[in-house]
Amino acid sequence: MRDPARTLPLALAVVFGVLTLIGLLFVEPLAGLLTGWASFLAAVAVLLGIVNLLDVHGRRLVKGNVYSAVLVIGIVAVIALAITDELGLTDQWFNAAYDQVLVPLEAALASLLAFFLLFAGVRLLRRQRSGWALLFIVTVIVLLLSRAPMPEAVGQWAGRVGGFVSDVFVNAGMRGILIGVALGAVTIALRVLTGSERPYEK
Amino acid sequence: MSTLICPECGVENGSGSVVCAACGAALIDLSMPLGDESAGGAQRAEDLPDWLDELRQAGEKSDAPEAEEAILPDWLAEAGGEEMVAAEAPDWLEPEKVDRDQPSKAEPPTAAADEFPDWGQLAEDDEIADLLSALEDDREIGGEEWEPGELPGAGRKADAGEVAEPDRAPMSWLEALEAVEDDTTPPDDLPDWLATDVAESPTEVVATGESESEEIASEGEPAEAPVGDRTDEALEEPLPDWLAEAEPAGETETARDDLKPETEGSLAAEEESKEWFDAIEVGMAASVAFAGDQREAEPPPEHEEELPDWISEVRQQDDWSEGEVEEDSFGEWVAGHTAELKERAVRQEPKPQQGDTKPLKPSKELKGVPEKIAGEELPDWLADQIREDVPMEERESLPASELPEWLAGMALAQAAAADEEVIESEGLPPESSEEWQELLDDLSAAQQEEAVQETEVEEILESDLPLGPTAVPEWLDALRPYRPDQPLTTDLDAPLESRGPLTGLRGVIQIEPIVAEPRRSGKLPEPAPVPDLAKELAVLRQLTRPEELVSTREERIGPSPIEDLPRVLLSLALLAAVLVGWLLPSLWDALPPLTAPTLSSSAGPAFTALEQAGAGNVLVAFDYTPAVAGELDAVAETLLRQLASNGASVITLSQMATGLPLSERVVGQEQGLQVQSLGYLPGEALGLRGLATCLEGNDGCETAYGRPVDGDLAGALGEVGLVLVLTDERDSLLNWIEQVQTTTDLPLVAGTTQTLGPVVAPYFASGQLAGAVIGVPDAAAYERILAAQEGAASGAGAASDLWANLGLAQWLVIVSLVAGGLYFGAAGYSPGAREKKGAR
Repeated sequence: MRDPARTLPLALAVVFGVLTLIGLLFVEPLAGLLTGWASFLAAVAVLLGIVNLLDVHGRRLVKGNVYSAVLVIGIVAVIALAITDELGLTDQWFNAAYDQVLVPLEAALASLLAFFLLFAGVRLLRRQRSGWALLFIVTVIVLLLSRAPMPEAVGQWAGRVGGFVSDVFVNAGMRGILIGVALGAVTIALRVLTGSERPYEK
Repeated sequence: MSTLICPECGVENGSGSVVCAACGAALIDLSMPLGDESAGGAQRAEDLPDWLDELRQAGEKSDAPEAEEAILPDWLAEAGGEEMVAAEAPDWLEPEKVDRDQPSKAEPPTAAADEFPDWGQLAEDDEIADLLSALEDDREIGGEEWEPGELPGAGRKADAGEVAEPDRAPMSWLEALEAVEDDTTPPDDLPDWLATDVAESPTEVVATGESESEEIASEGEPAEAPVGDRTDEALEEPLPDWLAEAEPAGETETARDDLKPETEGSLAAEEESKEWFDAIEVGMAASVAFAGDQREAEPPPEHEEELPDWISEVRQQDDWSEGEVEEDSFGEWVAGHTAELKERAVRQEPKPQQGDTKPLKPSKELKGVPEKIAGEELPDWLADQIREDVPMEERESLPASELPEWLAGMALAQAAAADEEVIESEGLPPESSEEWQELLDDLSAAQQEEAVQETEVEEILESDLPLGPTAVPEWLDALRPYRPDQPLTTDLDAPLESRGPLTGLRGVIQIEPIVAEPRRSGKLPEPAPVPDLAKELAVLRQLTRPEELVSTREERIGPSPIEDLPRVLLSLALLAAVLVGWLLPSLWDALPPLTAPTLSSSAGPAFTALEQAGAGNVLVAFDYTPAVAGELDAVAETLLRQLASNGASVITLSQMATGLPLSERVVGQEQGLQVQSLGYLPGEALGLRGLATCLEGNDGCETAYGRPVDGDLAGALGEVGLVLVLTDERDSLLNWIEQVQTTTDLPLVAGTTQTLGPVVAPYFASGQLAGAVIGVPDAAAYERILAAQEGAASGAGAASDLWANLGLAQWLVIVSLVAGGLYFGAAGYSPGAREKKGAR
């Protein structure tokens, strides 16, 4: 007899997957009920994730990991500010901490991407001198020029060239990618319904 | 050859002469006494055959004339007459007595005389001497030295390995005697009968006497029987020269010793007597074969009637080949041995001829000696030998090493001719042929086996196989620390073990306290420098030198400060462009007229869709993170500005935990905007699927995103006329398009970053998106449109400010890419770069 620890999740996944599919196609209330349960379980999963994160980094904090200490302190502090804001003990401290701390940090990290891309583009022909690299550089320059402020005569011509490139080549390539993703999603759905794919065991 | 000088006349005579040829004086003292019989001699006589005992007794009674007359043979009695009997000598011997001093008359009878029959004893000494001398000469003239126990013909047959030729061997021997006859002049004083015999056929007489004497001597027992009458003292005395030469010294000594075992009872004497007996048997076998052949070949002697009776009897008894064996003891004894000798003679006979003799019945009939013969008549020592010794089969197959040389040679010669014998034996009777074949096969098989064993031994010695236990050299065996056959010795002075499991044992080897102590090895001596090998020596020293510790720390493989300078410069330039745009917003206006930001192809429909939503409820999803908040906040503010200007109610939500604070901040900036927040929407696609149910306006919208939805909110959701999704993620946009737009068929407008523009374009082209505002350029253009619509003078806003900063940065990026591409592209085709590439 097979291991129940593996057969039970498989059975649940197959049964509820088929029920959801049937509900979405034929019985709408059934689909709403099942999707409501799924959303609730997802919210609980977020809570469990937060608790698990505190547990893991709390044990690392005991061992002296400084970064875990920062993480634990940050979680506890934000939660505490949210509670105090909710209790009226503080006034928008939670939003202030978010705007003054989290947003600049993430913006700073994202802005570094511009520097990295610039330097990589400059050194591209040093590392790889090929026609594809040259084509890549030329395309980047054309699209930047099409979106860059420039004199109107040149700007309009550049805008047309950039629009042509975006509408033809970029859209064509992206559609092909999206079609492939859709086919992959259908295949994964069928595999999950048949029990061949078990993402819940990973 | 030595000579004998006659003591009477001084004439030199041959070494074998007994009497002087000139004067007839005796050259050898034939009257040497043998002494009296001892007790041992009497006891030994008991074992003698009856016929010898009778002869002995008759000899003792020879003093009496009656006995003398009875013992003398007829022919001698007739020849001698009454005078000879009375004077104890024949008449023809009388002149000799008168003529000579006869010093030997008073002397006792010699040993030689005792060994001869009475008739010979009665003959004159000179006659006997002549006969013996003739025999001695015959041995020499015959061209071969043959032993007394070996007849001339037998020796040649054995050496040649041929089949005995009964017609030629005796004849050659007789011819030799005839040749001697010319030189030997019969004495004048011989008796008539003897002179006549000698004159007519001296060879025959001599040959007959010789053959008879040789047969007796070779058979051993009859020849030695008279010796048994001698005393031990006589045995110790040296024999006469002629007898010593005629008889092998070894056999004589052996014969003497063999007569002692019964008195001494020595085991060694028995073994020696066994060897002696074997030698006698071999000699008898040869003589029997020769005698048989001779009888068949030569005619009976002409003076057969003149021979003594006892010789005739002996001759009759010796006719063993005819199967006539008397029942007396000697006959039984001789019959037993004769049968065995027949077997050996037949086996040794290389090529027996059918018809010459009766086919002997070899081994099978001779295997068991009759109990009667073996136990009663044979001497005890001989009977024991036969009983206790190995079986006859094994005795017959004795190895060649135990056989006499002449017999071993004969056996080898027979084995060499074994194949020919097999073919020639086809004429033999079937039974004897098979037996012969078996005997020859056994002999050849034994020889082959022996040869195979010798070959194997040689192969083992030549091969590298481990030596057997018996092949361990002595020096190696001496190194063996312990021999199992020797008891272990314990040193009693060794200390007694008082602890541990070996308590009570002595001589326990103590454990070494320090097993090994690490130490630095001594410095190797410097090798002698060789000029030609100096370099090789240096290399070897370098190889033997311990490797130096190399730091495993990897050196920093990064650009040098000079190489890193462009990176720093680019960073500073990009930062300066942003700062200039942010600190000097008026600078953009001071620049030469540049192209104003224009709406993209998707931004215009988005403006139209927002305008169509009017004052209705608009669901705005803030699905982005603070990382892209700088770009999307500008887009969100522009769109919310339009919605606020239209008087629309906004219901905000987010699928990201960090989206809700962003929404509150952006929504809070717009004045007059009615906002309701649904908060965080978990479940991604499923959450959006449930939300779509509420957006459809059905009554079933009791819960949304995991929590119950009150009636007002549920009604607001059911009245939503536009969905605005602000996101920088592809999955979030796809979920909104796939789960909400396709289900509710509500217009969906996307506000995204420029990086997500290529993803938005296909859905916009397909109509699933009503419009899309992509990045800061569209936001800036959107502000310009809104400003134009509202009648604002500048229309400046957050998006327009970012557009100025972004414009400078984009130009800087364009310049940098072109410069870098040109520089590195041209450098890659330079000659130095080609050489470097070729080197790699």
